[in-house]
Amino acid sequence: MAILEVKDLVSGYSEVMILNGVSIHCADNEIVSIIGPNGAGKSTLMKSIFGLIPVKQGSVAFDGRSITGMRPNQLVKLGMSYVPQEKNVFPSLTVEENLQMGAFIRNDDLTGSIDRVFELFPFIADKRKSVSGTLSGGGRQMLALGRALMLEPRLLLLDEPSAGLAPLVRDEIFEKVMEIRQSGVAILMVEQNAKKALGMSDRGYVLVMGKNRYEDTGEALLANPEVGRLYLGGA
Amino acid sequence: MLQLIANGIVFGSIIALGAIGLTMVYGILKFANFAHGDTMSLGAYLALLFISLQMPFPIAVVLAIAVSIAVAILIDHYLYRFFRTTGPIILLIASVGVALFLRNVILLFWGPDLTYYTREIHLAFQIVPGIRLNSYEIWIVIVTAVLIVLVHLFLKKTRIGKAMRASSDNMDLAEVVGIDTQRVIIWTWSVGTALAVFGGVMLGLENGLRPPMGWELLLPLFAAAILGGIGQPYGAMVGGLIIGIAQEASTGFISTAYKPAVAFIIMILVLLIRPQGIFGGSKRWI
Repeated sequence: MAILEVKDLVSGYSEVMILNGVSIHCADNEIVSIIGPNGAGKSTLMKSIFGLIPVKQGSVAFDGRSITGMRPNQLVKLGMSYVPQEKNVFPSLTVEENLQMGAFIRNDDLTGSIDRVFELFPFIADKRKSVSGTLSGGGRQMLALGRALMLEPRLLLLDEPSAGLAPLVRDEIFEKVMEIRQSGVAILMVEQNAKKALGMSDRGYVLVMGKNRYEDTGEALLANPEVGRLYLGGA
Repeated sequence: MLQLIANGIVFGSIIALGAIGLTMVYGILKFANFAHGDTMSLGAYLALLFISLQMPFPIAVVLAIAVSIAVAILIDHYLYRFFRTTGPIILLIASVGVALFLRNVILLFWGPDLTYYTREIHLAFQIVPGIRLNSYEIWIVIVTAVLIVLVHLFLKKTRIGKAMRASSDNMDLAEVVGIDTQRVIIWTWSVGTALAVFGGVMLGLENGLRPPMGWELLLPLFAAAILGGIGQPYGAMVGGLIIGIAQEASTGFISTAYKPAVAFIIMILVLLIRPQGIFGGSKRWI
């Protein structure tokens, strides 16, 4: 049973369509990567799924139920969280307040969830009272992931979680993403760092010019010579 | 000089209360609300209305706040809401229209003459050697101090207060994480307007009521908000006190006619030297 099912999605800004019929799906507890050249529409796909860009045609279903055209504040209630690529923390709020805001729609006690996030990310636990604008790039990314987990989502949408991070920090973030998946969360991820992303994914899609080009398991896509030559930086 | 500083703290309290609302609306709705001064006037006159209906002063103020908040939310719903995506200039000009509208409604109902809440005379008495204030002025300072502490606790401790700070940081991200931004906007108008009404009533107590009272206060309000770093409530509090003290203290050296010029000069200097304001720059609310 697919937790997310996107069918023939067409969307974009006003007159210019960036996606021209994209179909992807993501099963429960699966980790799926979307790779492709710049301008392929990867981020647009994420934003369209999450209701930030109006969908012109096609459909999006979450857990078998149509969510086409739903607003983010409705989607988070269904169990979907989204981590944007940049500006993904509230810089003037403390680390702890950022996590509380991640659970804005919850009315119950948050201490358990906050403790679990700090267990996963000990690095930010030490800084819980610090203003998050002072965190390093990696710290901010961990906080953004932690904030998305505060809703205890079933599906996490990650837009380039490793963008702009040093290689060591990047690997740590990817490890954390794997840990999150192990805890039973399905992950749909857009990545520039295609080899790394496909290496850890169950399945992957190559998106080109707003359309599906390849679809296979992560391993098979890595082994596909054409994908390798065109989209994984040669050889 | 001590007396001038004391007067400055009184006037600065009124400015601070107005400037907090101005800066909050700027931070969250991203526009310079030129109707904020006239919201202060409206609150002051509504309090006058309820007093004339034989209500006790505190109840009249509470009712004035309630009605003013309703007016602010209605204006947002029927006017500003449609311009949220068109950019700040359209909103600014719309707010100038609202300012004119409010001021003329006041003129229509209450006329252009100076009026007072009460005919009683409150004599100033000596608090410490060199400082004389009347009982109203003491109340103005005490009530402002209490309100500022309440605003602080609201922003720091309550869920909606934190959501307001988050929305001011990044409205798009606030939507993404599921913050009810519509509720945040309603709270922003409510808190900002409530403080403006307190400020307007205090101005009425201190100087009497005239329809352009709030409009004329707009310059020091903006000066205070910019001095503190626009969008930063804590900056507005400090900025208000500094502008108030500077304006009053200047009367010891130059003609009182130049008071508004003092605020203007401070505003220009801040914009030239430190445009992000005292508390701006790192984009923090503290």
